[in-house]
Amino acid sequence: MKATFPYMGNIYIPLSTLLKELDIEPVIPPPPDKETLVLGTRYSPELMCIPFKLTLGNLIKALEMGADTIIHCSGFWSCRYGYYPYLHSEILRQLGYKFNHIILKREDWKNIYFILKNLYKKNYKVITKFMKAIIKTYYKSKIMEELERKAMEIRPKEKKKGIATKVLNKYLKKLYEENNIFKMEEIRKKGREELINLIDKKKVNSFVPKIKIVGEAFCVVEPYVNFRIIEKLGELGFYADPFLTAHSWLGFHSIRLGNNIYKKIRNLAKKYWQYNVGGEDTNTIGHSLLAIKDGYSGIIHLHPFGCMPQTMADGILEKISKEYNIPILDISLDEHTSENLIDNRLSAFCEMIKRRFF
Amino acid sequence: MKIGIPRGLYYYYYKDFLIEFFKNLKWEIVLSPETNQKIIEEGSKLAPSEICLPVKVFFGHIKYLLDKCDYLFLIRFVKKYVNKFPLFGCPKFIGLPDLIKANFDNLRLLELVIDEDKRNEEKNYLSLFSKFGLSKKEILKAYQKAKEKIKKKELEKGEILVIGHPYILFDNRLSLDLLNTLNNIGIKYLTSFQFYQKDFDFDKEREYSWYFHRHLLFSAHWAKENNILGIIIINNFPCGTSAVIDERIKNICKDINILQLIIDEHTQKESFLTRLESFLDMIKIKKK
Repeated sequence: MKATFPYMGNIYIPLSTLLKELDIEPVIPPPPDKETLVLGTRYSPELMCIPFKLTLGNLIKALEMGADTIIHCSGFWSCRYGYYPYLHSEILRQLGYKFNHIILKREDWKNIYFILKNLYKKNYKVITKFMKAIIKTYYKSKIMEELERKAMEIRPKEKKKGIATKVLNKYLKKLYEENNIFKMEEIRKKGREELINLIDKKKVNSFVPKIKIVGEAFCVVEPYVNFRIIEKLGELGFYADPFLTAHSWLGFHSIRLGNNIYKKIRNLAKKYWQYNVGGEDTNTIGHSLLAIKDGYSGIIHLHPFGCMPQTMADGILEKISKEYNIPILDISLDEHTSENLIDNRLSAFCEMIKRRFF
Repeated sequence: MKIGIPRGLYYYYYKDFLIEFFKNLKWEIVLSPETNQKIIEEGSKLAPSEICLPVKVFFGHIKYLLDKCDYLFLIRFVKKYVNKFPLFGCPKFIGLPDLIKANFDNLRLLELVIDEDKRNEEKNYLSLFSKFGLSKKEILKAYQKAKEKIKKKELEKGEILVIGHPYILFDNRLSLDLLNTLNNIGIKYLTSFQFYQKDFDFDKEREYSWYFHRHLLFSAHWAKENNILGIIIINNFPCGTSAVIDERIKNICKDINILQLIIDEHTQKESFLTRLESFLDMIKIKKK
């Protein structure tokens, strides 16, 4: 069984471990580029949001690389994300690809049972194997998170522009290939040390303004879609803090498993937003309010063009911006957005914050 | 008591019921006028820039009603169970009151929440209107009388099917007079709204859980079974749900001719008419 899943940011690093441990061969398509986007856009409905188009392109590439199973996760909800698996499979089947389709959703645990049953017909050690796989995945994704966060901290203070990103990518690649927990720990220690050594001694104690990044999950996590906005902000001298990373999206620590932070966010957002309309909207509003409380200097709101929950949240953010007097940059992304446009808007926004506060 | 109902979005679904209900309570209804250019312009100024056209128009209607009534009546549709299966509103139906509260000052809102996780529909009306010194009996009587009035109509006969949300179809400005044009040309048509609240095989489209959009799919299934000559799909520009639903409709009715019209603030009627007429000519040829 060769399985693939929709590609999003760095989630392939821990997920490939999970699949390998379950004796499934993961098929990871190459990182998205222009060709993938064109491929996805060609076959998807015109008004669909960009995460759908990009993941469709990636799935086509993965199927051409020899994958025979697609694993999707989905939720029954008001957001279009819940319908991705059905539309994806319909479009791919029309294109003539043949594959098994496994949809994991909260309401349907039968599918997971089906995978396990198919894989181990006579082996009763399923549970221990499953637990081991989960622990390894968790460990890997936690190390990934730590390195990523460290790099975000270091970027504004690095000796040479862009060097922290290079070092981070080197260690993430090592981490991706590693499968032993003790060796992963070694990578963590080494990576941490090397990243800390990159700090310029003149800038150690200088003040770094913080910017919160909120918005739709895919646009925040996937660097191709948001034109590596986190790295760019870091290099402009800001600490960019995304509200969601690949690790927390996987559900190991924040929203999906009902950690305390989600309750806090919901209570904060309640004044403006009483129901979650489907996507990341309560998080967007709540995290913006939390950022204002924590003394952030600005907020960047990333969302795909036509995203239903985020366009709703957009109207609320405008009010928050007026009420608390905080700059909010609203960036809507689609397949025609150019990198130069984002660069210009970003540098203007950063310049404005610097003049305003410092 | 004067109650204002904006003529947009949910109004077209709950029209008969609401008018009857408030008549039974002896409240005066203030309806906003049919959509016109002024309402569209005012709405576009107030609403968030990227939101879909009907919501922008809805903002315009609210602006019109602001100083003409005591209370504004809004519905927040969250969740409803049909056959023990949860169905949701489109995100715009769930979050609309919040969006309106954020964009207007000095609002007096009567907000009806339809969320069957919390309470059923009857109790919603009870808890909302008992504030105004009305007794339980009065409200329940008005509610039940209004419910009785809504009768399920038989399907009319027609040669082509027009699929679209009722808040676009029956709004003459937003649909650019589509239905009247069809009447003038003299072709018999059926609208997808006739399938709203009709009983259909529920398991057929199980994965699509938008409450207000399921009847579009059912009408497409009906069209396939009854050999309809052509289908016209009409939609507003950044409608998120229709990106999913229209693709499904096209897949269901592969052999039927489909004309898809997408409308925004700037669509001209002339180009729209040309496309419509050529489509109808094609259908006439097919008929012969």
